[in-house]
Amino acid sequence: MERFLAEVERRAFRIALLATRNRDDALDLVQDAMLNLVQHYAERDAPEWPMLFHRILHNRIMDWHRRQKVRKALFGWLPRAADTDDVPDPIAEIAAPGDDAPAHWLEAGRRVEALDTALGALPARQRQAFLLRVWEGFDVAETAQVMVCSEGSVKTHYSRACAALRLALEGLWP
Amino acid sequence: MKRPNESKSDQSELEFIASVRADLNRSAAALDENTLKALSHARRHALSHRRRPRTYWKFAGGMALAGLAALAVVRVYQPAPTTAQPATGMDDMELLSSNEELDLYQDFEFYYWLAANEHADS
Repeated sequence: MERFLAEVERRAFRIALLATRNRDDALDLVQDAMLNLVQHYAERDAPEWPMLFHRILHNRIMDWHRRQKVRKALFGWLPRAADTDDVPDPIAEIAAPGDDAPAHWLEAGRRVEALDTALGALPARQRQAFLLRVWEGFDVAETAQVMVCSEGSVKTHYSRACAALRLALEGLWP
Repeated sequence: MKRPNESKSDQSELEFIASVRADLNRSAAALDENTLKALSHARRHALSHRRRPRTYWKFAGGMALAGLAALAVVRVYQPAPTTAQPATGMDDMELLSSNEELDLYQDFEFYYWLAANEHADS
């Protein structure tokens, strides 16, 4: 279990960060998902852990979005003193290359920044479907189990996400 | 059968996906030290809350084994039957392992042999 968590934690944090745009919230969501998996599903077979973990994580992310909606509805009219501070640039979480970094590193950094922006702009379900399929390597059936939806819905979310990202990132990728 | 345009489109999408995946991996590998420490702490915290496996199955299994062991002990140490029985190899082991002088048993060996032959004759 420790090996699995050590292997998945970085990607889980990035997925949560893309969803919340807040480092502390992302860390809380990842810790919560880890705790839930260990407490309730540690006795399951190891091959089940990836899907269980991501289902827990994505449920937590959806709960976070719902709380944010309620919060905005109730308190959105209150002026916020440091609005920009609550939404740090996710790219700041990535160690910045030095000034003398080779051009290709700078180019890669720009691409990651553009990718983060494009992924952050996607609707939550499209982003979920895309990241589960592309980054976690789940097939359509597995993604449907994690997202608790039909395989048809997964295909729709995924194809729409791909189309939106290709449009947003035109020129940066093939 | 796929048209050439469709194949090119598929190939282009595969390349796009591969590039996106590579950049996502790069971004995960480049997380700052503080974030990595926080993640490590979260992992250790979660693992410290791992529930111990249920012990009652172990307890039940242990009790069953103890019961079987007790039954075996009772069977082994039951009093010997009073009817005469032919000499067995175990009886010889007892004799050989005892500290008493074996001369006394030489006559017994003869009587055992006699008894065994009387049985055979009858």
